[in-house]
Parts: sequence; C-alpha cells; structure tokens
Amino acid sequence: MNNVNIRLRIVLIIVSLISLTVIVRIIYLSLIDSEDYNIFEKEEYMAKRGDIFDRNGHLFAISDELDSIYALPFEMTAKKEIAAKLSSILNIKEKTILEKLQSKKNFIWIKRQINPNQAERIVKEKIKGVYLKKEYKRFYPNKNLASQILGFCDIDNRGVEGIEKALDSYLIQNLNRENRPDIEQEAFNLTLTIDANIQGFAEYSIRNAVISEKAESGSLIFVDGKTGEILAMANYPDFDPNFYSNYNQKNFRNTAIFNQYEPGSVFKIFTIASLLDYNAITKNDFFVCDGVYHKGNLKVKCTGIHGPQNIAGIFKYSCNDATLQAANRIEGKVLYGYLKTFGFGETSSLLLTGEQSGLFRDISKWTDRSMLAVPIGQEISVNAMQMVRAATTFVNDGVMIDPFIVKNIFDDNKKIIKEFSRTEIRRVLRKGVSKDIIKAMESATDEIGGSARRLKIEGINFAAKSGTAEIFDPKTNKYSDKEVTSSLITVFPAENPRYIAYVVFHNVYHDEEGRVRWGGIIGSNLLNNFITRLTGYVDFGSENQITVKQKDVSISKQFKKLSKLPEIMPDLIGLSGGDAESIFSNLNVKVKINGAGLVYKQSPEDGTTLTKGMEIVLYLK
Amino acid sequence: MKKDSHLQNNIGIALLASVILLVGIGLGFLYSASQPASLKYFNNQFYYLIKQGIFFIIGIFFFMAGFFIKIEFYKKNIKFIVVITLILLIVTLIPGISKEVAGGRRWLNLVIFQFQPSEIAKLVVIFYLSFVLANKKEFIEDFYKGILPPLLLVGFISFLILAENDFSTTFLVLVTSMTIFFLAGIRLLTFFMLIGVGGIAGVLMIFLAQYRITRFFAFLNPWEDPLGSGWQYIQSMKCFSLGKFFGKGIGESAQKSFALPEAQNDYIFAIIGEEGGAFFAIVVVLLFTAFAFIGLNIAKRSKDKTHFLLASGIASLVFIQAMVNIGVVIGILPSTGITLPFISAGGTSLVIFMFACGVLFNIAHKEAG
Repeated sequence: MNNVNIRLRIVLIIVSLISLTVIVRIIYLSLIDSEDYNIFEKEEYMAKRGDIFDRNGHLFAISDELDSIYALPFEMTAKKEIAAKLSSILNIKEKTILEKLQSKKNFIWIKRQINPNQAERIVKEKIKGVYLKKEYKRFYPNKNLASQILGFCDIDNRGVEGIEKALDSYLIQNLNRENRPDIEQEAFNLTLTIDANIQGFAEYSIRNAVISEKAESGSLIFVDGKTGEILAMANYPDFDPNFYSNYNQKNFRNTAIFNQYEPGSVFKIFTIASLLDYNAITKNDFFVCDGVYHKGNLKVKCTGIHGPQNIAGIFKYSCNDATLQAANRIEGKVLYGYLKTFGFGETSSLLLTGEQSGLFRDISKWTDRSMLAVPIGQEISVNAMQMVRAATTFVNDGVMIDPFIVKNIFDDNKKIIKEFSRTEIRRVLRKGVSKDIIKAMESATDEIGGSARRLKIEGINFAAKSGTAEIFDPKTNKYSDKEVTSSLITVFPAENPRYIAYVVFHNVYHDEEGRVRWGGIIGSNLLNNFITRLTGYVDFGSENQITVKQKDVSISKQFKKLSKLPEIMPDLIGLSGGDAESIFSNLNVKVKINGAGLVYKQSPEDGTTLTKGMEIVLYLK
Repeated sequence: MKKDSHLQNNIGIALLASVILLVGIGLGFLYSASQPASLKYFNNQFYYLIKQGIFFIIGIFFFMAGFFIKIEFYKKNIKFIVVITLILLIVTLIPGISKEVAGGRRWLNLVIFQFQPSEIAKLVVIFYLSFVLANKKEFIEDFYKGILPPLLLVGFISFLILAENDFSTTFLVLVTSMTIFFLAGIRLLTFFMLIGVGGIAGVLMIFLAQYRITRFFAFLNPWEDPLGSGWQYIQSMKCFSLGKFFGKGIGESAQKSFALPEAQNDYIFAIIGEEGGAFFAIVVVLLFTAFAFIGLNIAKRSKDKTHFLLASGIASLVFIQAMVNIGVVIGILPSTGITLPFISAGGTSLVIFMFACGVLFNIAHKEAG
C-alpha cells in the first residue's frame, strides 16, 4: 500500500498544481483592462461625431442615430427561413443573406444603418439570432455643398476624406474608457472659415462655367487675404457625400489643392515682384518687346509685338519677351530663392487631405531653358491654393499669410477648445513692393487692351493677372495644341487690397473654330458673375473682418409655396423650418416639425408618392 | 477507532457541504446566466432555473440510490451494465433514434426525456476499471494479462463516444481511466507508454479533421479571428476583466445576453467571473479542489481496493471535468464543449454526478461504519 500512497500523493500534488494555475490565471484575467478585449472597438463604430458649421453657424455636417442589424448565426436553427424573412424586409437577395448566415463567423452585420421602418419590422418579427444596434450615421444636409472640403465618413463613422479625415481625432467621440481618462474625449464640433452662402455662389459659378466651357474641371478660391480665412473653395466636378459610393474616386479630390499644373502667365506677378524686391528692375524700367525673346540659340515667342513696356505693360499685355528680359537680369538661383520664399514646391498647413506640393525643380537641376520658362510660369507646377497663398503677400505689404479653413473647435457647451487665427508665414518682399505690383496689376483690367479687361464691376477696382498655359503632354512629350489651363487671379479692392479670388480651369479645349479659351476671358466671365452676386451679400467697403450684409441667403434651393399637393415628395433638406412648413400650408397633409433650424432629414424621403392626409415629418437642427 | 469513525463522518459531511455549495452557487448563477435564453425561447426567466431545480430533486433520489445500493451489486452486474452502456452508445449513433445537435450525435431521445449515454459511460468506465483492476492484484504489473483486456474495453467505449463526435468526453474518459490505472499500480513504464500512445492518437485525431485544427489552435491566438473561432475565448476572458475582483453583482452580466449567449451551458464559469468576480470564481475552483481532496481522502481511508479505485476515479472525473471546462473559459485549453459539473445547465449531467456523490458518500460511510 506504500507505493499506492506515494501515487496518491502525486495525484494530490497534481490536483493542487492545476488548481493553483487556474487561480493564478483567473487573478491575471481579472486585472486586464476590459478595453483590451474590444473586438470591433464598439465605442468607435458606435461613436458620435461632432457637427461641422460654416462661419455663420450654418450646418454642414451632423450625426444621426440609426439602427444596424447583425446576426449571431450560432443561435440560429432555421437559417433558410430567417434569410427569407430578412430578405423580404431588407430587399437584399435571400441567397446573399443565407451565405452570410452560413459562414463560420460568430458575428455578422446583415445590413448597416437601415431605415426606421425596416428596424421596426425587424423588432416585431423577433427573429432568433437577429439583433439591432444603434449607430450614428453622418449626414450632410447641404448635399454637394463644400463636399470636397468636408470629405465624408465610412460606415464606421471614421473620416475618409477632407476635414472629416484631417480632424477625425477631434470630431469622433472617444467614450469613457475605464482608467484611461487621457484619451477620453467628447465629440468636438468645428466652425469653418467657409461662408456657406459664398461657397454656394462659388460652386454655382464654377459649375456653370466648367460645363459651358467644356473644361475637364475647375476651381475657384476666395479668401480674405488680410486674415487668411478661406471663404470659399469651390470645385467642379464634385459629389454628394451622403451617397459617396455612387461617385468615382476622382470626384472626392479637392481639385484646388490636388491638381498640379503649370500656372502660366499669372505666375509673372511673382517673378516681377521678386525682381522689384531685388532691385534688379524698377517699376519704370522699360523693355522692348519685338515678339521673340532670344537667349543664346534658345527663343520664346511672345503673344504679340508689344514694343517698349514697363511692369504695368507686362501685366496688361502679359508680355513674355519683356518679362524674360527683366528676369534674365538676375541669376536663376536668385529667382529660385524668391519663389521658394513664396512657398512654391511646399504644401500648406491646411487641415485638408490630398494636397499636392507641386513640382518645383531644385536649382541644381535647372537647365539653360529654365530661366526662359520658370519666369513665365512654365517648368513649374503648382496647386491653386499655393497661388492664392503666395498672393496674400501683396495684400499684407510683403508678408505671406497662411490661409486656413478651420476657425475653431468647440465642445457641446460652446466652449472653444482650439482657435485658429491669422498666421504670418514670413516676410517675402520688403515694404512697398506689393503696392507697385497691385498698381501694375490694375492695368490688366484697362478697358483698352488689358488682358483681363472683361473683369469689370461697377464700383470695384480690380488688380488682376490672367494666364493661359499650354498643357504638356507626357505621352507625346510636347505641349498640346488642343487644350489649355486658363486661370485668372484678382486682388481687390485695388485701392485697399483685401480679397483674393483665383479661378482656374483645367483642360479647356479650344472652341469650335480652334480659338484658345483665354484665362482673361473665361476667368473674367466667371469672376464677374461670382463677385457681382457677392456684392449683394458682402460689404466690400468694410475695413474690418468680412462683413455680411444679410444672413442666410437661400443657398441653392428656392421653394415657392405650392398651390396643390405634388405627386411625389420634394427634397426639403437644407431649407429652414418655416420655409419647409409654408410650402405645405393649406395642403392636405400634416407637417410635423422636430427640432429647430434647418431640415436635415425628412420622412417620407424625396421621391416617395404623396397621398392626402399623409404625415410629413421634418427633422431640424 | 472511535476517533477515526468520527473523522470519516466528518469527511462525509465535508463532501456533502462542498456539493451543496457547488449546486447552490450553481443554481444562483445559472438563474442569472440563463435569463436571456429563458426569456427568448420560453418567455419565462425562471425556465432553466426551474428545470435545473427539478433535476436537482431527481438528483437527490439518485444520490440516495448511490448511497444505499451496495457496491457489491454493481460488482455482480458489471458485465450487464457494460453491455447496456455499449448498446446505448451504439444506438445513439443511429439516426432517427438519436438527436443531432450542433454537428454531434450525442443525445438519445427516449420520448419522455432525452439524455446523453456518454454521461453514463464516463461513470460506467470508472466502475468497470475499479472492479477489474482491483481483482488483478498479482497481474497488475503484467501488461497482457492485467492491463490489455480492460484497456481494450476502455478503448472501444472511447471509440464509440468519439464516433458521436464528442472529442472532449473521450478525452475525459481516457484521462480518468489513466488516473485509475496509475493508482491501481501499473508499471510506470507502461503508464508513460500509454500516455504516449494516447497523445499521438490525440494529435492524429486533431489533424485528421480540418475543423478541429482551427478550433484546437484558436485558443493560442484568439485574436487571429476575433469574430470567428476566437470569439468565445475573447468574450469569456473579457468577463473576468469586467468582473474585476468582486464582480458586478449577480444578474449584472452584460456578456450573457450579447457576447456569450447560452452561457448557462459551457460558459457559465465566465458569467460567475463577471458577476461574482475573481473572488467567486476562485471560490468555485477551491470547492472543486476540496471535492477532489475529500474524494481522494475517502479513497485513501478505504480498506478495499475496489472502493479505493472507485472513490479516486469519481473524484478525478469531477475535478478533471471541472478544470477542463474552466480551462477553456479562462483561455488556456482548446474549446471542448464540456459542462461544469453541478453548475452548468443539463439534467443528465447533474443527476449522474449526484449519483456519483452518493456512491462516494456510500464508500465514506461504509469505511466509517
């Protein structure tokens, strides 16, 4: 029995060891932070996002609570029946659902963010293994407005493009994580420097112009050059962030910072400013244009034979010959240094995504040709915002300002968490040079012969410079003879410069008769249109911050009171509650209003057939 | 002798106490853990509690049976019992009579009630080995005469259980059998060889079925497929970190309704960890350990080798099954699908274990008396 006792003792020791191991493991597990187990970061996909507003409190983006439906297949017995039931409610193919249910996963999303009617039916059906979960969905009440600035969010409510991505960490709620107050954060809201109305005007103008000019795309930037606030940054084509998946990737790109192109003659203002600052020329130096500029055996054709011209004449006629004569008084590396200080070849600090720095070849790689190309805006590529940023130098007497798009970040108690304001980047030109440049640029709008003479609005003096750049085709290794990049910059009011408007059309085809669509012409048409509309809205005479004459001009929609009930539900999103309600007054429907502000959601959705006595619910915020 | 008898009585009381505590704690947590499933399927939050309560009462009768039926009775009829068990196991494999649940054919449907013959088989193997090995006094060190015959029968029963696709019960039967062989005094060399053969067979079994490989290795890194094979490990381990040391309080588990549905079965220990905290979880582990110690003590004190092997076999079975279940829940063993004795929902299991306790109590009492 002795041997047995030893064996029994061994068994007891093993029992004790197992028991001890298990106890140690239990204690260890109980000490782990339960957050470490969050499989799909529940807080993240459940998380709320802060709202985004324009500078006047107009809503750009909000979060809305919706149900998502998921399944735990291991709880299910009759998967086929369940798939059939779900299919009829959700309008998804039965086969698709069944495949999901038969997968080996323990947790499956059947459909994210379903509409409330479907959610109600799912609840009623009480299907075994099928559950609902509340999620927040991002909603953009203004649809395409400012879409490329805002960007959009994926199904998990994380920013994918634009400000949504750049400021994702501020916008997204980081729920109370146990013992981790350091990363706990509520969903912060943003105020942009953008003015929804100006943005609306800008988008309207650029859209019409791009379509009528048959350009591939276009951008219009409007900034308060004194402060650096971007008031509008409009591109076309654009997209509706509510339905981003219907669009091509290309539509998401913020053309104003994404497209890199040779700026052409607009660039001359930076060349001439550099020369003035370096004292290589004076504003009264004359250069004789004979139609061609020669240097060694290289030559550059001018747009005409302009005769003797000073800097005002250079801008007025956009004279290549005179510009190059002036520029070649200095060495390439001097010009290179100036253009670097103007910020070319570097990205900005804008809180946006997709910015391209442009290609500004290092001085060591310049060839003999470079000093015949760079001064007139070739052999260098820029993005539109770089041009505007460099131009802020002329508004601030030689100091370049950093344009910005986010005004502040604030919490739900309106407490400001972070504020952005005018930031000087550096002094580029000595005092006084800017004034000469502005004065010279004014001549471009001279009625007789000015290249931007069509830019003309009663009561405003414009300093401007246009550009029409040929497009280098890397395939043929030649400049295209069919299309150009047309652009126009203006700084106004010329007597007290404050605002900068810059428009650029990409890939504008020559018209039917083969004529080039000059920047001075199509740019002027557009800016006339845009700025004329602005004169009713912005007080350009005001010395201080941008002053708006009237608030809330209807941005894109003009609804009249309806005389009879329409057959289908109109799209009311973005309207003020009063406007939306008045449309239906005296008609045979009940209108219920939830909240205050602008309509961000409507039931039924637009396109639904309306019947008498129907209840229309509008959600306002 | 009087002192000794007093001690034996105390051991019987300690045994009863540990079982009553386990069943008591079990019913409390079972009620909480089963609430979501009870409400969902039966619209009555007490459904599983009532069911388990009824089986507990039935179990008391089985305990009495275990206590009063003389061990000699089983000894006389062991061949008959083994044959019946084999028939039940084989019948279970026939479609139509048995019920298939979650890919395994383990349930015998006897119209009035269903039960798992493998639950009975576990105990029958212990009885059988105890009788056979106790009788082989002089042959116990002889492989062919002493060990091979019972080994073949255990192997056959294991094979039948395995055919039900019940890998875990097979494992349990084999480990318990090995413990009995070891305590019966077989040569160490033979013992280790058997373990080696069993180990190789186990590895082969795992690798022969693809689904077992993923399932088997998921516990090593549940994060590889957190929504698939790793799900239950992650969710059950999370329970302990949610429960911290003193738990959320009974009824407060969040995991039971979302992450670990049907927790009243194999994952009830996770809910104990979440609602009762590490404290209650450790209490449960200690109760099982106490049960093992008491059982082995009863064995040690018995003068009859049959009783010695029977008592230690029962004690080992309960302890091993409990630790395997807990080991899965705390993420140190591969998922098995084995219940926690006395605590998990399940009629056959509770009744059988209570019967086994009756037998243990019987042995304790006999040695005392």
